[in-house]
Amino acid sequence: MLGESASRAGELQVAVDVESLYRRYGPMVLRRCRKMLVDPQLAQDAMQDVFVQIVRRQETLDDHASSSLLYTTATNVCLNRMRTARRKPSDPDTDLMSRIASATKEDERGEARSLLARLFSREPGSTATIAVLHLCDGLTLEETAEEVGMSVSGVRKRLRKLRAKLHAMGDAA
Amino acid sequence: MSDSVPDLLVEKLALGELTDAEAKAVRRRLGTETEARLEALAASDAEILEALPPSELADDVARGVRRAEARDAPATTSPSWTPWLATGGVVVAAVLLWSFTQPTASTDPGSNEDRAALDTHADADPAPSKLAMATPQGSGGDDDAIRFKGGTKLKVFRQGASGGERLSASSKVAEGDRLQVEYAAGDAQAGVIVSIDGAGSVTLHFPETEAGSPSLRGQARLPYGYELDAAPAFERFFFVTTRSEDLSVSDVMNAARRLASTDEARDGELRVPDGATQRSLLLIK
Repeated sequence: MLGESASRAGELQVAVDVESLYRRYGPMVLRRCRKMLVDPQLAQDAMQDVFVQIVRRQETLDDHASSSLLYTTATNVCLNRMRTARRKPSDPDTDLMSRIASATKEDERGEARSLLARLFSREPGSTATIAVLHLCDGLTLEETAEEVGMSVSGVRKRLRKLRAKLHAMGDAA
Repeated sequence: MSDSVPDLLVEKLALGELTDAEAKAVRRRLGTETEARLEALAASDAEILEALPPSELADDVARGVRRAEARDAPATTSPSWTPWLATGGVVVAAVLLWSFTQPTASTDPGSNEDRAALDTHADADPAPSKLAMATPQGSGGDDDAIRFKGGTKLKVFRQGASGGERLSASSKVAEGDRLQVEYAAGDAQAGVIVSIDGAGSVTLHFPETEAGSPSLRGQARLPYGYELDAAPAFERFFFVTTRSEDLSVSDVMNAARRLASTDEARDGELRVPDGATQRSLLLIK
């Protein structure tokens, strides 16, 4: 699967066998994108972007341990698409924050959207990924740290800062 | 009970990418639902692969890679907006171009003249200057900008109902305006394009994600357009570049977030990494 210059994408002189990679991980990536973006077409487009990024980066992939890379890449791609969509209020169907909010408490979607927008607006992008993995997906601190390639203390620090910010926002409200 | 098991762990279990101990722990958490969850994933796998076969996906990805590479390839002939108009199939109403000589640099040893230029940001002074627009609206072309040292340029196109409009520093923009960004690397090897607005929000334009590569390739149009939201007061773009490949996207984003949270967001400077230079453009709302 890896380091090969084969398959249909071989025309691009890439080292990744896209067909094999997709056959093994594509469904997982698409499910991830669907969960975050909801819209099936947006999710499929995002999934394609994930593989395009992998091919372009010429990632060195482990034959049996690439799920983390693809899952995290999918999360980042979806977050970025949501961030872009957030700048397009005329297109609420692609609003990232409403997606995240609707995945938590439907009846508080509007309030949650506003809160999340303010909460994450000045944080590193990786903090959003950490928050999604830990708070939305339910990964433990250790599992989250492993997925994002950070130390547990680093992840804990990011989340602690986020919680403090959230409390401060609550106090100010 | 099994609802508390993260999807990723179940995915990894199905893929056989957990250690024996991890797999055992996940199976224990899933309890009696283990087989049902795994069977559901297998069924979903089959459905997805049938709906979008690997060969089709590979073709789509190959096209996506080619598009991305073509998009990032240096332009060799006409001004960048010309092929954009031709291939994009859209009417571009405005072209914004700004090109600075040696703008704000944390450590870049610019000349005194350059340093003076740093103190008069194009976005703080709408009057034409060596830091501001290279050409008046509607006249000239991108070639006018190459006289600037380094050749690094950033262009923003605004889509409108008719014709082209070239915006300048401090141009008026409004909610709903659709902007598209294009850059010319000049002598820069890496760059990050980010914007902040009057609401304190930060948007990364290039690369696509903080994990993405900031490597610049000649002249390129970014794949996404942006529709301005209702954020008040201003929208300010930054183009942070280095002459080496060593540029942290996260560092630039963090600098933008810090600046966006201060009262100096409108006219302050980013605390960019050592060796980086920054250019900024202010659009007024």
